Amino acid sequence: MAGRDGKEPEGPPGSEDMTPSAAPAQRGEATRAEAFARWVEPEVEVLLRVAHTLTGSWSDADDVVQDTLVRAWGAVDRFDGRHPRAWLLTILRRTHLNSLRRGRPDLVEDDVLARHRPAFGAAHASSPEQVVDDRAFDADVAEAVGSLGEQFRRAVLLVDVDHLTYDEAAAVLDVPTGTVVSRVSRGRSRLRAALAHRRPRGGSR
Amino acid sequence: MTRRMQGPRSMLECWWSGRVLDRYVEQQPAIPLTPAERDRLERHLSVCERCATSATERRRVLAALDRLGDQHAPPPASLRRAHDLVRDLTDGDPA
Ligand SMILES: [Zn+2]
Repeated sequence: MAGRDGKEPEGPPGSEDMTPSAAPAQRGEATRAEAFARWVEPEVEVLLRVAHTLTGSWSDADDVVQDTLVRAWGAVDRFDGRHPRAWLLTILRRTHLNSLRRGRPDLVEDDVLARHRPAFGAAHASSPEQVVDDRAFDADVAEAVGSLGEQFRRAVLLVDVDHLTYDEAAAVLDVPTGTVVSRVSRGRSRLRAALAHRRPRGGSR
Repeated sequence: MTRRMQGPRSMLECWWSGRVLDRYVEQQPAIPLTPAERDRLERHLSVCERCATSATERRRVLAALDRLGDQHAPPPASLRRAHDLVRDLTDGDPA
C-alpha cells in the first residue's frame, strides 16, 4: 500500500503508515480512500444484486453499479460512516432513476421473470426425490414471482431473494419501511395463493 | 400428532397466528416476535394443524426464494469490474 510511487510518509522509526506526521492533505486523501474502500468493498456484491433486481440484466446492473460507485466516491466527504449499505443503496436508487430518465425503457424490469427462472442445476436438498421436487417447485415459484405486480415483485425480490433488511429495501424503493413490510407480506401472500396447487408432498391431509 | 382445536377461542388464535406467522418464519423480520409471542404461537402450532401447515408452506416458499437468490449471484466479471473501479477510484486514478 504505502510507497506506491516511492514516497513514504515521514515519521519516527517504527511508526505506522498513518502517523500524524504525514502531510495533512495527503493524510486526508489516504484516510478517505481507505475509509471508502472499507465501506464499499463488502457491499459490492449486494449492490450488483440489487441493481440486477432493479434493471433485470447484468450488463445494466454493471452500468448502474459503476455509476453508483463514482457518485459515492464523489460524496464520501459528506458521509458520516454509519450504515454504509443504506448510504450506497440510496445512491444506487437515484442512479438507477437517472438511468431510466436518460431513456432506456428496455431496462425496466419485465424481464425479471425470465431472468429469475432458475437454471436446472443448483441443488440444496438431500434426497433425489427432494431435489426433483424442489426444482419443479422453484420453477413454479419463479414464475409466480414474475407474475406479481411490480411493487410486490420488487419488494419480495429485495427482501426474500437479495436478503436486504426492510430498512435497506425501503432505502432502495424510497418508501417508508412499513410500506415495504406491507408489500412483502402481500407479495408473499399472493405467491402462496398462486402456489396453492403445489402443496408439499404428503402435506395438507 | 396434532389435534384440531374447536370453538371461537381457536378461531381467534388462528387469526392472530396468521398475522404473526411471517415474522416467525423469516430470518430478519422488521419487528421480531417477543419471547411471549413466540411461546404463544408455538403452543398454537402444536395443536392447530391448519396453522402448522401454513407455517410449513411459508417456510417452503421462503426457501425457494432463497434458492432463487443463488441464481441471482453476480457473474465474476461484474464483481471484478466493480472491485477494479473501487481500486481505481481510491488510487486517485479514475481510469
Ligand atoms: Zn390455527
